Amino acid sequence: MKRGQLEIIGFMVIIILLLFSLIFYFKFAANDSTDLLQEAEENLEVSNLLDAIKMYTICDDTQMSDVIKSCVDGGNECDEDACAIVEREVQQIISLNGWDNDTYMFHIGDILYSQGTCKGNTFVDDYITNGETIKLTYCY
Amino acid sequence: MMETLMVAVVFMVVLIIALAFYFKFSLDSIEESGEEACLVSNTVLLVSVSSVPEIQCSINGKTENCIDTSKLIVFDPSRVYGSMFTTNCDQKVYFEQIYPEPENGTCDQNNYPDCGIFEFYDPDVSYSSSIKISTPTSLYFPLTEEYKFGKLVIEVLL
Repeated sequence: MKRGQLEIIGFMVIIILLLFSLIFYFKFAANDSTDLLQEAEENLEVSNLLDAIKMYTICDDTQMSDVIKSCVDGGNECDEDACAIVEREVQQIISLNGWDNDTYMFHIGDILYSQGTCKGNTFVDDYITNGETIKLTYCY
Repeated sequence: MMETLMVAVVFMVVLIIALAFYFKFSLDSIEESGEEACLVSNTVLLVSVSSVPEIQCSINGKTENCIDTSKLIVFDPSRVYGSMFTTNCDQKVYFEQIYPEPENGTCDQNNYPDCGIFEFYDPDVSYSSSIKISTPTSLYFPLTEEYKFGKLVIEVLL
């Protein structure tokens, strides 16, 4: 084989390698945006879930936000200890939403009202009532 | 002469294989992009459906972050918001009561409020598979003045 032909083959190999690397680059770049979409969905879910928990009716005209407020003050609601209602009902709602116990935490101030703790990357939504921060944390 | 011809043939074969791979990846990525665009538009729809004023809770003129089921049962979104659903893929949209667990299935004016699924939009098309995306929502029942836990579900039809 002549030297010129060898050079052409070498050039060809470089072009092909460049083409493959571009294909792989665009393939992985596309995956990044899918992750971003999933993060946006999860962020929205945490925020909407906390809103839905706050509004949930426990008895007559008493919503969960009222029960949480009573729990902060150490009181009762619906003839029951407010904090016991929060612990039971929040766990029930979140479990029906499809989250496992080790993927979320529900805090009133520094006190944890969920069964497990979780670590890693988190999405958090919170609000303040009677000077205490009510916080829902989702770990992924 | 023979060597040049061989090089040209090998070059053509390698080029054809490379192009075949390139077009296969391109086609896959176009299909993926289509599905992704569809999921993006439906994620946006998750937010916009919850904010439709005709079904949002409004107490003493003040809007709340929940869905009024008495409005949901009579509202037909295809009349006013038809364009909202003509994205690049078909989808079914419905609200589902999760907790307390409902007794009956799909709601209509006869079984309301003893029902669990409020259909919002159904394109009535055939489909082979679907992807469900959902977000938690609060469902308000004005007859009993209760807020229940539910989900807004968008079923992307493929």
